[in-house]
Amino acid sequence: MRLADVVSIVLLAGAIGAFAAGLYVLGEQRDVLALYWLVVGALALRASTILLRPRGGSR
Amino acid sequence: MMEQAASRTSVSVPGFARGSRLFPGVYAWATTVASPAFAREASTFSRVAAVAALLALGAGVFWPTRAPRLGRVLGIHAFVGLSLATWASVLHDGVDLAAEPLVAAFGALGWMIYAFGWGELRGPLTVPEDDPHVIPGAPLASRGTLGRRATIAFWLGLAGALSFVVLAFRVTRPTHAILAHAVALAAGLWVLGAATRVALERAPRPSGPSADRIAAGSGTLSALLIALGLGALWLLIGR
Repeated sequence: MRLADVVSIVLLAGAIGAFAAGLYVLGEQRDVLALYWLVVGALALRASTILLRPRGGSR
Repeated sequence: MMEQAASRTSVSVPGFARGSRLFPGVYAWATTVASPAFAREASTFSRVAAVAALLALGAGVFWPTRAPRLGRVLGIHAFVGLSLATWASVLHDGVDLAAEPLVAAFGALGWMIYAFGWGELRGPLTVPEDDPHVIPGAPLASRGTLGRRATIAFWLGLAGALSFVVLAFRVTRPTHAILAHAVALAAGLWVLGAATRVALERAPRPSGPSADRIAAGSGTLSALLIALGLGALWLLIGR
């Protein structure tokens, strides 16, 4: 596996963790923190897939 | 040989196909359309629309197979459209659409099975390769087994998506619980899609050195780092 592959999998795992944290703290009635984790999860997930296509998204 | 193949492909079960469309449709109609339309407060228009919906369903199901398109128009569009008209009229009359919630729930199940009934399925006793439109040639070989990255990404995505659904049930506030389930569903689908892409995008398609690929995602990565930095600041200052 190349470095970018490892980074994309780490980002995917991070995104899953962030989404899970967002839902967890939503259950703890900490809405702002939940929103924060959901935004972090979305950014991490987006980054994990962007790494797969380095040339402007062309296939 | 061809005649034998043609006779095998022409095997069909119209009775079964008609039944799988008619019975769920009639059940859905009886529980969700006729039930409110024939309530005491319902208007004549509601009852006429309900009966017309049933007639459209019957006509669509038993329409000659020579013109299947018209049959589908009657059995799907006319039936659903007239059912909608009945519901709108019944609501206007002040009748409760789901007086019995359990019956309404089973009616919704009937609608689902009715929808499946109009789908196209391969009939029993038919062989796909016997179809006259099949492209001859050697069977396509599989590309082999998936790599380690694919396995890791797939199971990671699946476990993550399932964990969201479980975590959503921890939210007890009613309005927030709906939001949590919506977020869990959306995030789960997104994660599954991303995990599939990470798993299947294999070399040489993601071409270029790792540095170029990471540089391509620098914008999103920067935003992620800023968000994480803000979170760390919040943690330090807020406490």
